[in-house]
Amino acid sequence: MKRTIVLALVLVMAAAGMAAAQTLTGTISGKVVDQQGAVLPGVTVTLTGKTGVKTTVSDARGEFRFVGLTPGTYDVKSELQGFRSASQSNLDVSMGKSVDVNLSMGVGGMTEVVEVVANAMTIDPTTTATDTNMAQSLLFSMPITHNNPAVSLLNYSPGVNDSSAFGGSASSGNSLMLDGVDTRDPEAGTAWTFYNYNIIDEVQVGSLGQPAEYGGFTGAIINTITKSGGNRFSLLAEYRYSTEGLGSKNATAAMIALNKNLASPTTVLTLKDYTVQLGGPLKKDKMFFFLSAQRYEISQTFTGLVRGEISPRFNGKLTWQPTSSDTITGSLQYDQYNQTGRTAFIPSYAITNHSQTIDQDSPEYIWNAQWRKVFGSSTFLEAKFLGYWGYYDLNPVSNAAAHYDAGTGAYSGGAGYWYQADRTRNQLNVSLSKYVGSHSFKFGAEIERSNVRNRFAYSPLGAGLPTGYFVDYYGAPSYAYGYTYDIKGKNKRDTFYAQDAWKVGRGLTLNFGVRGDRIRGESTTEKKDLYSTMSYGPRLGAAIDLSGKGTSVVRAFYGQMYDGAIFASWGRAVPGLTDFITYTVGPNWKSVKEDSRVPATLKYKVGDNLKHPRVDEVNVSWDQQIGRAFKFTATGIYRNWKNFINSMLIGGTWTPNTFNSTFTNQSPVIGPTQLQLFKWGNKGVVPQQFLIQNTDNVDYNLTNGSVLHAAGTRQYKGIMLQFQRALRDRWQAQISYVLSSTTGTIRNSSTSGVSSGQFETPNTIVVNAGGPTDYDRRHEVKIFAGYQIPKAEISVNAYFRYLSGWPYSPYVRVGTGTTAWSSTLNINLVERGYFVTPNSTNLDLRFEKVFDIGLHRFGIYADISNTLNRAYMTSPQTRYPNISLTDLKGKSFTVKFGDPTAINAGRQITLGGRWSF
Amino acid sequence: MARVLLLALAVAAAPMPALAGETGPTAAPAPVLKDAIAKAAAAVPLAKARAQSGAAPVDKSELGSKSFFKKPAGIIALVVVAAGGAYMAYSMKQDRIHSVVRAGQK
Repeated sequence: MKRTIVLALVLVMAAAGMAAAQTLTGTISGKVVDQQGAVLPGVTVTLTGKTGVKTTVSDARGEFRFVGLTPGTYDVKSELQGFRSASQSNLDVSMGKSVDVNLSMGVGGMTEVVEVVANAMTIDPTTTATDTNMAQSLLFSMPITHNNPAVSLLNYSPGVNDSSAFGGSASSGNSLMLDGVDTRDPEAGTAWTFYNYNIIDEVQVGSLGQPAEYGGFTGAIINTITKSGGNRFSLLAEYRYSTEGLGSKNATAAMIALNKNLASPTTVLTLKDYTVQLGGPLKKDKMFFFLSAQRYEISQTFTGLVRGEISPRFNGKLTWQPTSSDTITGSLQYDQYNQTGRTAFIPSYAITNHSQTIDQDSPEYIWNAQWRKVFGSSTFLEAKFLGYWGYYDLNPVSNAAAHYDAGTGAYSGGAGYWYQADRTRNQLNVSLSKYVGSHSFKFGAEIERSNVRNRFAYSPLGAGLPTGYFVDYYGAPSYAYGYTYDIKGKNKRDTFYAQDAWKVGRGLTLNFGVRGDRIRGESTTEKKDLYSTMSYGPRLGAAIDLSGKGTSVVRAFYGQMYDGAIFASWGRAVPGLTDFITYTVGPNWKSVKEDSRVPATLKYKVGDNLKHPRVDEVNVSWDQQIGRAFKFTATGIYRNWKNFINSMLIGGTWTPNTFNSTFTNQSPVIGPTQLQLFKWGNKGVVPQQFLIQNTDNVDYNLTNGSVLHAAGTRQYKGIMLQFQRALRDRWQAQISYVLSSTTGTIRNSSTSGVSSGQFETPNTIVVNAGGPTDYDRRHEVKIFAGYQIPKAEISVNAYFRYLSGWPYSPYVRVGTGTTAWSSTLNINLVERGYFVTPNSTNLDLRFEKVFDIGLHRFGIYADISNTLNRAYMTSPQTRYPNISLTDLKGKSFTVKFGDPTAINAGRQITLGGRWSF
Repeated sequence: MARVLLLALAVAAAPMPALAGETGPTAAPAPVLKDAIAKAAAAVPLAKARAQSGAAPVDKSELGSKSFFKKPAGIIALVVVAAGGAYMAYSMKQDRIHSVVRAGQK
């Protein structure tokens, strides 16, 4: 007679914990003991998951281990003649995490089963990584935007805003992994491939305290695993819909008075998002399939124009288990990213008609082949070949040249340019995990080859004229610029890493690791390496299990993390750029005449002995489990970025030159302002050529013989508090608060730290360049909370976010007469952070009604973004004293410094329905 | 706007029998639906929550056999997936914005 006894006890964390060692898989390990606590060798332990059953036998120490497990839910059962069986159900295995179980077997019949209910919230007591994961139950139920999931999910995580993670560079600092494929643009790290939110099976956001197997980031990694088929057939059919009538305008009268274009903010016209998915067995326990198709269609207005996107996305995955220890997986994604109404030369706030926009054509493939092999219970091999191919072409609706008025700041003309980008990325990753006694070793090697090709040309300046764009001055022709390029390069990264989690005893685990990255940049045309760095990043950490039960863990970590291979950091030295030509412009823009020409040949070259950009991190954290469903985490973080890469003028000398500004401000009281600028002293004597180099500490030679020192710096200090309540008794919550400060002279927007002209003259690094960085959000509160109303069976889920404002400062465009530079420069009038945009709050809600009918689950829901219809500034006007914009009727008006050029979107309701089994 | 919001909430909050009535019920489905509700409500909250997050430990052994697709629900599922996938594949050709420059290069 089978008898089940539910004990509902706190799960005791086993002493033999395993390290966070597998990037895409997890581990279940534990110990079998009798009622007196004596170990039981020779016990048959059975693991049941969605792709079948695995068995092992406990060793002489009573220990067992299942490695290389696909994330998901598992049951474990132990059986031995003369003992009651013990089982553990619903063990959630996450990627890179270890779940430890103790199974206690009493004397009795084998058919009797003692079932222990797992904790809903567990802590891995052996890792130094601080979790900023989003639980699956949150992903499924919360009102999370489905657009560009990798980046949007990153921004829902604590400590990440505007794609800047714990002070890191937006985009280039983050690694966006999809089943192990780095889906970033190898040029500058922005998201390149976009996928269906509904193919996500599990998401892990890693940033703090990561072991050596994680690399290629100085901000954060988002690691997404996609769905697979299992022994049961599964279906998802979902449709989401929204329209203009389900949206609200949120600009206040006061905002519109400051900028009349805000009366027509970005709003959704229509959203139609269809998904169908089917997964299941082709042969039970052996072969499984998963298929998914999506059509994502959205059109929006912005400043009265229409921007459209239609993205069909198809995914297929085949999983084969030829033996119980082998898993072979192959997957393919094809998608298109078709856009109309994109901005080009003219920024979105200044566009007045559709002819100033461009259309985008972007097909792409993502491929992935993996083999996992488990040798016994102590060795695990994982090999992957993966990558993607894609391009995007930007095609102007009108081929007319663009105009920029340097006097008024106004734009006019056509979209202004053509652009074509081609990308291919291939990676081969191999890793071996070995468990020896109290050590958990992992060794790995990665080879990456990624190709970048960019082609660009401005529109013609007129019939029969060269390409370029016009710079006007108060409505009159002034001059024009022009150049084109076709550049090709290849990132070559060879990586190895070794790490160990050594369970010393008494709850102490030491984590050691080192990661070596050899990164080279090859000019494809010249077939030679222009960029070459070798970096070694140590990772050292300790985790102390204070309670001995995995309920209270203190961690400490020091590590050096290096950026991935970034073409932008050396790509300017690749030939393919034509001369930079300045033209004088005839009356009515009918003719142009070449005025000056800066030769493109060798304009940039890469310096010797470059060091690859990195971040040094120290963090200390404390995890405390409270009851069975609560967890509290406090983390102190210090990060310091180094090895910035920028370009400097070769052989330049500089003459101090005073610049007087009329800038004044009442609160705080500033100005009129006098700035100490620097004029290029030996212009015409030395050519305008640049050296790409590290710019942590640089000197500028002044014409008076003295030296001007400048430093590239960025530091982050923060405290993060997290409170998690697992889904239980109808409610769940994840609350975080981050107090932080990011300061320095290097901004954290996009590629500021790896590729910019900030050091080419001292004016943009020495003059008011320091202070809080762009994305320094002093206070951040993020709350996910969900509750399922009894009887009505309606789930109410909320996402609330509070953020401090953005630091900014006013700038003036200083002309070439003051600086002798080849173009105007934007000079900050006061240090960055002197002004901060207002704080912002946002509340999104989802109401879902669920119908469980037999095997089938039907849900209908309404997502309400910006429920309170709050309006806050997302982009301040930073040019002093003002800029000139054109309204939808073609009439000019000015927007003063500090007034909004953009605000957040208003309330929008999206209705959805889904059927699943 | 407010009316739309209220409508959305009202739909989400509609009692099951009312919704069943809207979908053209016969006398027979209502008790089945009612039973299902009672069964679901009686389920352990954790199990229910897990079911909703797509990791249901509830017995779905029927879904382990291909014979499921010979039943009405299975046939409908296949039709939905096949029709949806085919529609998306068909419309993909219309969606595509072909690059003028790239077409010229070919």
